[in-house]
Amino acid sequence: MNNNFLNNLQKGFLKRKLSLIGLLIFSIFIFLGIFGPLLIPYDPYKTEYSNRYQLPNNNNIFGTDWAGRDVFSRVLVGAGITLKISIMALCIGSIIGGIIGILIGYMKNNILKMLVIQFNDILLTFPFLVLAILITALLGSNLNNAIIAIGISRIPRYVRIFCLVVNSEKNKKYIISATSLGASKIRILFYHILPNILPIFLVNTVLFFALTIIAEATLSFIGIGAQPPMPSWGLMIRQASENMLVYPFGVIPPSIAILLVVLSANLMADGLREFMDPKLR
Amino acid sequence: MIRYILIRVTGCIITSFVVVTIVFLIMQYLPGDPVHYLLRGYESEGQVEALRKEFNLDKPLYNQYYIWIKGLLNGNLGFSIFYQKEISSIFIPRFIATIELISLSLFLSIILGIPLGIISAVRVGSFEDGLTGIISLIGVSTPVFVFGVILQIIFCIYLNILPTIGRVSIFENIFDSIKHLILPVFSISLGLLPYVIRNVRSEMLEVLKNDYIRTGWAKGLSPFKIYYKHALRNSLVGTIAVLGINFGMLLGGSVVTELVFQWPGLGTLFIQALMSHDYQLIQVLVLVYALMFTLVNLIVDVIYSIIDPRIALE
Repeated sequence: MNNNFLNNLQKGFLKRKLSLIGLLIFSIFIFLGIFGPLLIPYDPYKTEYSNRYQLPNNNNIFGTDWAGRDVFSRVLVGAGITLKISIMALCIGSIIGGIIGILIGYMKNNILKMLVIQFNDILLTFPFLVLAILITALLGSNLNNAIIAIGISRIPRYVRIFCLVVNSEKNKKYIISATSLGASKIRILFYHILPNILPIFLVNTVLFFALTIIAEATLSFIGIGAQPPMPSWGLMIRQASENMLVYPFGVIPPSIAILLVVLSANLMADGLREFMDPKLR
Repeated sequence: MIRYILIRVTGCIITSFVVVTIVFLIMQYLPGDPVHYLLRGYESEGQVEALRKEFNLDKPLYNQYYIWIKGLLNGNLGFSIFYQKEISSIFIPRFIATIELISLSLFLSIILGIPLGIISAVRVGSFEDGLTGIISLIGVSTPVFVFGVILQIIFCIYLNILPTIGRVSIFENIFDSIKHLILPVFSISLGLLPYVIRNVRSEMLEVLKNDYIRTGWAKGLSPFKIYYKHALRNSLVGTIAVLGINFGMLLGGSVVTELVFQWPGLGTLFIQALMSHDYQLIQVLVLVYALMFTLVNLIVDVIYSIIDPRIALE
């Protein structure tokens, strides 16, 4: 299986230029997210009102915002915040949701399983963003609660996907033959089913990563996610849009930052999906 | 067929009932007491008691649940603490405003998405296909509110031809009303459009491989007839399903877009209610969003079974 996996990875993913560009942007983002605070030219929190609303120039590559803070430094520190948020929300959403989904899918068909699936389908009728906004506002408006809310709101979708995937996987012939050879249930789950659903897990995780960044920016834009003066990209767009009559350029740098990171995730997901499903090639 | 629709409708009613219960339970176990938010620290023991009595908060849980269900069935949605009004009286104009926004955005993304999807499927690998692909990638990767803000900057500040915020009812002044609608509708559609384009394109590519399409070419049908009549009908099945799934995204997008354009709909009401801890109002709005999503999916399933009768048989 492993050889096949690498082979497919090479054919489907690495040969597609777009996916490679995605991987490149994504790596740069990770690098800046970790080392950004060491590279910044100015203090992202230091206000200097005499120097505000500057268009890009030699001193401030992305200009300065309404309080005279250097936008370039803020975008760099914002990358770190975005990285932290997406990893934490991914851990909550994909790990909890994935485990529940896999276990439910692997269960024998009985009433309990049916009830859990039905209940989960009902949870899916709450629109993702509405649910995330609701949970954040009710837990209290700050970044950590926004992360928890985004993670929780994504659990039902994960449960559904993995329940369906594992359910269809466990009735395939290779699992039946493994069972007839006397393999234990735990062995089948870890040695046979999990490696085969790994690609689906990867694609969903990458797509969820993109969605998390958009959701966090949206919550911060509404004003219930990151709180000022934190340089979260969504919050920066909100503050820039409040001053859009005086200095409309302020919206551009954080918007492009979000666009690039989410785009890179989407490009990688496309490549991964293509290597999973050879019919698409 | 009728049996299938009946089963789906019954399922939908059960789902709605469970949703009502879940929303009720979520609101019960929330941190914070609405009475305290209402009195804002000026409370005396007697006032708290009186208000609790007025909002039925002193009764046991099953009794409150009974009152909530009975109220919903009678069209009594409860009382908004923030607005000091019956919720049903503020709710209806807001609901109409949101429906106006959502339905037009849906319509626009379908009207634009289908031809664009067909063009890129017919000329696979061409310049047009690449361009549509890039546009839809950017559309998927940008949060809806960014579209809103950027459209505002371009059309309201630089070109100064459209109003920035607000809504005018279509009965007051049609021309003004359309002017206010253009930007919000466009920014919501830009978020949904890529999904329509991508889906029409991939479904179309599958359908065009079929034998009956080749027969169509062989007997000399015009390309227009083949693409828009014979192939499109079969590729729409999957697209309708995608619209149903992404309707939730559309609802979420409408909340933020309403905020950007100060549209007096359910989204702005929802955020206001959250900011002011108006629990009854939050309860009603979350319920409405969930029920809209359920209803749309029911409609999608029914349309689906009409287009493709095999689904009803399964």
